[in-house]
Amino acid sequence: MAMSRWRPYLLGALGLAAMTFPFLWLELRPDFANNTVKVAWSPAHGLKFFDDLLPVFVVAFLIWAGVRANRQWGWSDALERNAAWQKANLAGQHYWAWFTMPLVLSGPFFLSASGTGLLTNAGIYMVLALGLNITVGMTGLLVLGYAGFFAFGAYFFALTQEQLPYFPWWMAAPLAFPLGGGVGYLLGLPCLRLRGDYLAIVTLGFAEAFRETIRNLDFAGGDQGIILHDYSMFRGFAGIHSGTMCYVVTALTLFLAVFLVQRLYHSPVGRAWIAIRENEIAAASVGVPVVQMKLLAFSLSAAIAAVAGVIYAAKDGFVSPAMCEFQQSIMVLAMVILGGLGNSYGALLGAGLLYLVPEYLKLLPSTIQDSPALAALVPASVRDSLQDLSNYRLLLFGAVMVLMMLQRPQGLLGSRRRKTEMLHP
Amino acid sequence: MRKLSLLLSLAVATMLTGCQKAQEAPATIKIGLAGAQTGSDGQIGLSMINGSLVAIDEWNAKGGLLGKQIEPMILDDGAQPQQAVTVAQSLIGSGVAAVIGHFNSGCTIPASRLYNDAKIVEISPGSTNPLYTEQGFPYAFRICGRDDQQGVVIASFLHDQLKLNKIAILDDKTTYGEGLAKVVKKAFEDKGGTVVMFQGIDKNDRDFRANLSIVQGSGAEAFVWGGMYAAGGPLCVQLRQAGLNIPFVSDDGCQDQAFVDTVGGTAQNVFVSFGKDYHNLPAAQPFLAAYQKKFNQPEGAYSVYGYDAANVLFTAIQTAGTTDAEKVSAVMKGQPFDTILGKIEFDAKGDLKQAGYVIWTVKDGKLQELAPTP
Amino acid sequence: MTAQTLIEILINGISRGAMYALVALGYTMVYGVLGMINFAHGEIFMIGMFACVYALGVFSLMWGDHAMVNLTLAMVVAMVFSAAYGYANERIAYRRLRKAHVLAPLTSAIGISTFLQYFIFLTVSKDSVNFPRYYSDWLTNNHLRLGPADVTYLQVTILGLTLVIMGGLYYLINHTRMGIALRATAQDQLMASLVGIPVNRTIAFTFILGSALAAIAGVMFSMYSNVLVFDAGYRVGLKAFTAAILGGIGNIPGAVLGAMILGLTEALTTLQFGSEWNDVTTFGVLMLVLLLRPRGLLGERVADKV
Repeated sequence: MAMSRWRPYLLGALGLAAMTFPFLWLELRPDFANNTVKVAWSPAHGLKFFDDLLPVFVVAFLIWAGVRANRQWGWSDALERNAAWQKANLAGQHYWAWFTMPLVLSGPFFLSASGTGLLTNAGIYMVLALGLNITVGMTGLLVLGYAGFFAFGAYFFALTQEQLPYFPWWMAAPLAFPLGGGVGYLLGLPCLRLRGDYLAIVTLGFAEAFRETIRNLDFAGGDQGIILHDYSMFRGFAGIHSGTMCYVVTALTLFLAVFLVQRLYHSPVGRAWIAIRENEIAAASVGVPVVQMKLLAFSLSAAIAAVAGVIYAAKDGFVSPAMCEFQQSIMVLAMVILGGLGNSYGALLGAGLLYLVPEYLKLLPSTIQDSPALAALVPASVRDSLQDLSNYRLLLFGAVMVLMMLQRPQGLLGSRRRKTEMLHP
Repeated sequence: MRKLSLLLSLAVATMLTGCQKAQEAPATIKIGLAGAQTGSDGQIGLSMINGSLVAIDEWNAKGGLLGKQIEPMILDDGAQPQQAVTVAQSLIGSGVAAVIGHFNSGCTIPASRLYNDAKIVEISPGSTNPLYTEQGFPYAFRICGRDDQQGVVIASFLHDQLKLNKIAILDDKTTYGEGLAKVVKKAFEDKGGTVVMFQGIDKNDRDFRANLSIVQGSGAEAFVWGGMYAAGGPLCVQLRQAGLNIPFVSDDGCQDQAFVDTVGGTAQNVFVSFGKDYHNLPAAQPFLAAYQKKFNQPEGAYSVYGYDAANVLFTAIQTAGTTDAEKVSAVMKGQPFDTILGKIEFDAKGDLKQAGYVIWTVKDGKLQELAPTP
Repeated sequence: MTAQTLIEILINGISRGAMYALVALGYTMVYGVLGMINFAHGEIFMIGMFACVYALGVFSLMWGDHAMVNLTLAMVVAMVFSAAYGYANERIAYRRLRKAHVLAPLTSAIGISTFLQYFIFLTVSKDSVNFPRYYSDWLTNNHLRLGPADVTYLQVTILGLTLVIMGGLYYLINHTRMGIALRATAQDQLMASLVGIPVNRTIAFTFILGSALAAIAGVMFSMYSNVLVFDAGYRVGLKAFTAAILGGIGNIPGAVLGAMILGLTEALTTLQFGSEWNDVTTFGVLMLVLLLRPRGLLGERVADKV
C-alpha cells in the first residue's frame, strides 16, 4: 500500500536523475587538436550545484512543512473566522488608501537613495503590470509585445526632446497617453475583429520590428540609444533630490492609474470587459459592443505603457532598444499572472515581488556585510553561500513560476471565484 | 484580506530596503566591481572582475588601502543597459569609494552619468566606445584603447600591410560592435579602399551564410567582424566552410582563447586587434600565476586589464591619501603609473595617452602578436 | 549581383527555413492537439544539442571515433533525451493545468524555459561550446554542384530530413490509428476519452514526438552553426513560432511552408536591405499574411475551436 503510493514519485525521481545525469556529473573535455570531444567523470561539478542550492532546499522544506501544518491545524482559517481580524480587515478595505498613500509617499525620507531607486523601478513595473492587466486579466486578450508600447513612449519622448528646444518629462507624459493609445488603436483595429490569439502575435511582431527599426536608424541612436538632455530629466529642486522627485512622480502616477483602472473596472465598461473575457459570443448576443470594448481596453493599456516609458526614460536619462526586448514583455506578463489575473492589486503585488526579489537576492550578501548586527548573526559560511546563491536567481525564478502556477493557477491575489474558473472553465 | 496582504508586503519591502540605510562609519574601503556575469558576455565579464579580485587580494595582504581593508562589491549588469543603471544606483547607495567597470560600452555609458553625479571615480577595463570619455565627465577613465584608434589600426593593417582594396564588414549591432565597424569603414574609405558590404546582424544569430553568399559574390578581399567572439568564432568557421579563405580580421572582442578554440588552432589568415602581448613579459608572470591559483583556470582577455585598473586606482587613492574623487582623479591625470602593460598616463579626458593597438594572429593554438613585417 | 549569388542566397534561405521548420513542427503539433503555445520548446531544442555532444564524448571513449556511426547514434541519444525532457515538461508543468485557463500553462512554460536555460548555464557552460567538427566535417565540407552554386551535404540532409519528417507526420496524422486519436483529442478531450481514446497517453505522445523532432533540429543547427550555447533556443524558437503562425498554426505542411517563407524572406532581406532588417521584414510579412488570411496560409483546415 505504502509502496504503491510512493512508486510514481520514486520513478519520477529516478527518471529526473537519469535525465540530468550527464549535465550534472559529466564534464565536456573538448579535444582541440582532433576537433573531437571527450567526457570525464567530474562529481565535484554536480556536488557544487547541490551544495550551492542547499539553503534553497532548506527553505523549501520549511515552507512545505508550514503549509502542511497549516492544513493540519487550520491556522489561517481560524484567523479568518476571528471577529477582531474580520473587523480590522473590513476597516482596512475601506480606508487602506489613506494608510498606504502617505506611507508610500514618505518613502524617500526613511529610505536610502539606492533603495528609493529600486522602489521607483518597481513602481514603474507596477504601472506596466497594471496596464497589461486591463487587456490580459480583465478582457482576456493575450498580449506578448507589451514592452513595445513602453519603448514607444520612451522613444517618443527622447526623439522629441532632441528636436525641440525645451521638452521636459512633464510635457511629454500627458502627450504620451493619447499617442500611445492611438498606436494601440491602430494596431488593434485589424486584429481585434478576429478571434483567437492574433493580438498576441501582432503585438509581438510590433515590439520586435520596433526594436530593430530604432536600432537601425541613425537618428534614433542605434543600439546605444539616446542620452537625454539634463533639463528633460527629473531634477531636484529646493533641496529635494532628483531621485526623490522621480519616486514621488512615479508613486502619484501609480495612484492615478490605479484609480482610473479601478473606476473603469467597476463601471459598465468593466462589466463589458468581464463579459467578453467570460464568453465573447454570449456578450455580443446581449448587446455588448465587443470590438469597441476590446479596442478601448487595448488602447488604454498601450497608453498607460507609453506614459510609463516616458517616466522611465526621464529617470535613467537614456533610452535604448533593450527596453522592448521580448524578455521584458514576458516579465511584465509574468507579473500580471503571478499576482492574479484580473485583479489590479494582484498586478501590483506581482510586479513588486518579481522585480524586487531578484534585485534583493543580488544585494543580500553585501547588505549582510554592511549591517554589523546582521554580520554578527549570519556566519561567514552562510554569507558565502548566499553570494553563490545570487548566481542561481534566474534558475530559482523559473522554478518558482512553475510551482506557483501548479499550486495557485489563479495567482497570488486571485479571488476564489476566479480559481474555480481557472481550473474548470 | 487581499488589501492587507498588499500592505504587509509593502511593509516588508520597505523594511528590507531600510536595512541598507544602516551604515556605520566604514571600517573598510568599498570598491564596486561591475560587469556582466550572466548572459552571452558573462564569461568574459567575469574574468575581468576576477582580475580585479586578484589585485584586491594582493593589496589586502600588503595591509590594505589607507590602512583599511578593501572590500569588493560585485554586481552583475547582465550586459543590459537598464540593469547597469540599477547596478550603478546600488553601488552608489552602498557607498563605494570607486568603481571598476563596466565591461560593455553600452552599459558603461549610461552608468557613467550616475557615477559622475555622485562624484565617484569610474575606471573601465574594457569599454572602448569613444563616447564614454567624450561626455566630458571628469571622473571617468578607461584603461584600454578607444575604438577610433582601434578601427584605424585595423583599417591600415588591411590597406597598408595586406595591400587590400575591397573589404566586407559585418557587425553585431551593439554599441561596441557597430561603433567599431563604422570607424573601420570610414578609415578604410579614407585610405581609398572600398567597402563592398556593410551589414549588421543580431548578436544572438548564429547562421551567417546568407551574408557570406553576398561576400562571395562581391569579390571582397578581406572580411571584418565588429563584435564579440561568441558570434565571431562560428562566423569565422562558416566563412571557411563557404570556401572563402580571405583574411578574417576582428577586434578586441574576439581576443579570447575561446575564439581560437572555435576557429581551430591551425586556422590561417585570422587576425585580431588588441593591446600588446603581455604573456611573455616578466611583469605579468606573478599575476598569471596568482590568477591560475585563485580561480583554477587560465585568465581571460580582460583579466589583466581588470588587474591593472585596480592597481592604478589603488595607487592613485594611496597617493592622494583620500578617496575623494576630485583628488584621486587629479592624481590619476597628473602622474604616470606602472602596470603590467608598461608605463601608462591618462590624458585630460581620461583616455590612455599611449594606447597601442597591435594585430594578433592565431599561431600554434594561441593568439600571438603578429611579428611586424620588415 | 550575379545569378550565382542569387542562387546561393536562395539555397541558404531554404536550408535556414528547413531548420526553422523542424522546430516549428513541434510548436504546431502541440498547438494542434492542445491549443496551447509550448514556450519551452526552444529549450528542448537546446537540450538536444547538448545531449548530442555529451553522447559523442561518451561514444568516443567507448569505441573510438567513427564519425558517421557515432553521429547517428548520438542523434538517437539526443532524441531520447529531448523526448524525456519533453515528457517531463508535460507531466510536471502542463498536465495538471490542462483544464486551466490558457495563460496558466503559458506561464509555467515560461518558467520551465528559464529554468532549463539557466540549468545548462550553471552546470554545463556559461560560454558557448564548440560542436566537435571531426564529426560534421564530412557533411559540411563536401558539396554538390547545383548549376553555378554549391550545396553542402549538410544542407541537403537538412532539407531532406524536413521533407521526410513532414511527410511522415502528415501520414501519421491522417492515416493511422494514432492520428485518429490525435485528431479526436484535438477536437474534444472529453468526447475522445468517452469513446475510449487514452487522452493522457495521446498528449504525452505528442510531446515526445515534437521534442524528438526538436532534437534533430538541434543537432542539425549545431552542426550548421558550429556552436552550442545555453540560450540558443530562444531566438530560433521565436522564429520557428512565427513560422508556425505564418503557415497556420496546427497545420503540419503549413509549418514547413511558413518556415520556408520565413527563411527565404530573411535571405532576400540580407541581399536587398542588409541582415539588420531581418526582423522587420519577417514581421512585416507576418502581419500582411495575417491581415489577408487571418488563420495563416494553410490554416483553414483546422477547426476553429471557439
